[in-house]
Amino acid sequence: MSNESDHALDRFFASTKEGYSNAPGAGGSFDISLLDHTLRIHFAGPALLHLMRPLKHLVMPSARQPPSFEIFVWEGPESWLPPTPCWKMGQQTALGGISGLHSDRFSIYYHDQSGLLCMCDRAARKSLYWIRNAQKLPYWETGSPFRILFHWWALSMGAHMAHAAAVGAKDQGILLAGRGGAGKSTLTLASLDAGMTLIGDDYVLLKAGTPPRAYSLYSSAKIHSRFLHEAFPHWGGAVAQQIGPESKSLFMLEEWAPTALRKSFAIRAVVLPKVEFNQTASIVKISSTDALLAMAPSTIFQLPSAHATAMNYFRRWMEGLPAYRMTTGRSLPEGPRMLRALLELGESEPAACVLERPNMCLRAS
Amino acid sequence: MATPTSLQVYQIKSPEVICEAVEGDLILVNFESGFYYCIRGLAAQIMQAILNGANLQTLIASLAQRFPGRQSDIERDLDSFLEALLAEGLIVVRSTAPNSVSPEPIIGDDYEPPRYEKFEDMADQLLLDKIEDENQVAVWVTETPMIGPQ
Repeated sequence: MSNESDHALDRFFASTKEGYSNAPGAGGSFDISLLDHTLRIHFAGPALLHLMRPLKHLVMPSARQPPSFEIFVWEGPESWLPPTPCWKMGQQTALGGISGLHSDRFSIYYHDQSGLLCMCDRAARKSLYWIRNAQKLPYWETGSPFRILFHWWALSMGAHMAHAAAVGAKDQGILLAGRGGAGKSTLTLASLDAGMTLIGDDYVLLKAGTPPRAYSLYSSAKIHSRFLHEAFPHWGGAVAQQIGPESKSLFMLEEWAPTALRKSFAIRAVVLPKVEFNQTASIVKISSTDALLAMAPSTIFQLPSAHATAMNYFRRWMEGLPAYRMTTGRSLPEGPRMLRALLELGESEPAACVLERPNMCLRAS
Repeated sequence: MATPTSLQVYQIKSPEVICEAVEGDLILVNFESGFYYCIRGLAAQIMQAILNGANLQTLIASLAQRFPGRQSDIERDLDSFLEALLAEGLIVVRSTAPNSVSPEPIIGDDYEPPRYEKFEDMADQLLLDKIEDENQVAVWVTETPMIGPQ
């Protein structure tokens, strides 16, 4: 993108931010710890404060040093609109990205069905989150607020958001990957019931390295309400609200199981869960290709601008990690038992060799 | 006999398509259609040779030398494979290159027709209502419809 375009976006950003400065009310500012950095979220009024609920576990006392990134959050006001959009209708993509407006410095997201605008200025380390009417906020923002902004910031930090869950034990864990409906949340809740720890249920941040790590982003979890009542009736009291077109039950785990939450741990394996009550619980080793096919597309097709980065980043992040397809079977506790067994295998070389044989099947005893 | 088509070289249709190599396999994602693909084994080696600049004539010669007695199958299968990749919008013609890049030595003992696996489960996430006037400056929505249950 040209410098001239960046100048225009700079003016657009500054003019839009005036809306925050002039918005009535005081909502407060919160510092959160993410990827070992401090981010600061400012609210102009109380209407959107509920978006801090899934982030409560990351909140820390106000830091003295300047934050790594800031988010300015406000709605309306009724008499104000941002300046005329600096893009055309044809540039708006189905995912909310604005094609041709993603530069090294600026990114913009506009969900035109709700009127949610997100904009990031990497040079200034500031971002904007505005909606004309807070009542019209997209339902997914309740459980996963500021997702687009966190995604852009994570990229600049050498990390990447992933549509995945991560559960663990003894400061190490397993990434649960797969598209919606695969069984991640079922296995997550079953793992919590079994005393395992949790980084996240729906989205986590991944950081490549030795070993590869996952970082917590949201303490929210959600599961189909019908399945909740059938398989996890004891979780019924933890439901914060029903959300989405499928009326899923949303939990805030920081309010219900705070001691289970971890900010980060090393990942030892990737597991693709499948809930199959008519099958015997089993694990089968799979190729990195099959793991990436399950893991990357659901992230790529949910995050604007992730398409250029996600596949390559996840491939590098996964290098050296074993991957498995796991069928949970008729007994829910078998799932976390197998996950624990996988984590313990990492400490035992002979057992690890057995599982390294192609298509070796570890049957639950 | 060389034909204009057999001398063409191809490239990924970027930026609409990305291609990632994973332990010898290839994963491709087409952001226009929402479909993604996996190409494995010998087909992945063939695809990699195509993306590295090998034209059809060179590829056929290389494979026919590696798998004697299969020339007619190779010619038919590679032609179909290229046609399919073009039809899926994954590759485009880059140029015509009579002296194309030679492929890397083919690994594997058995010839099999190149194929890809196609996945369509994410395509519905890209559905978007047709915009009447794409060149119209975007406007802020002031009366927004309800989004799901409150």
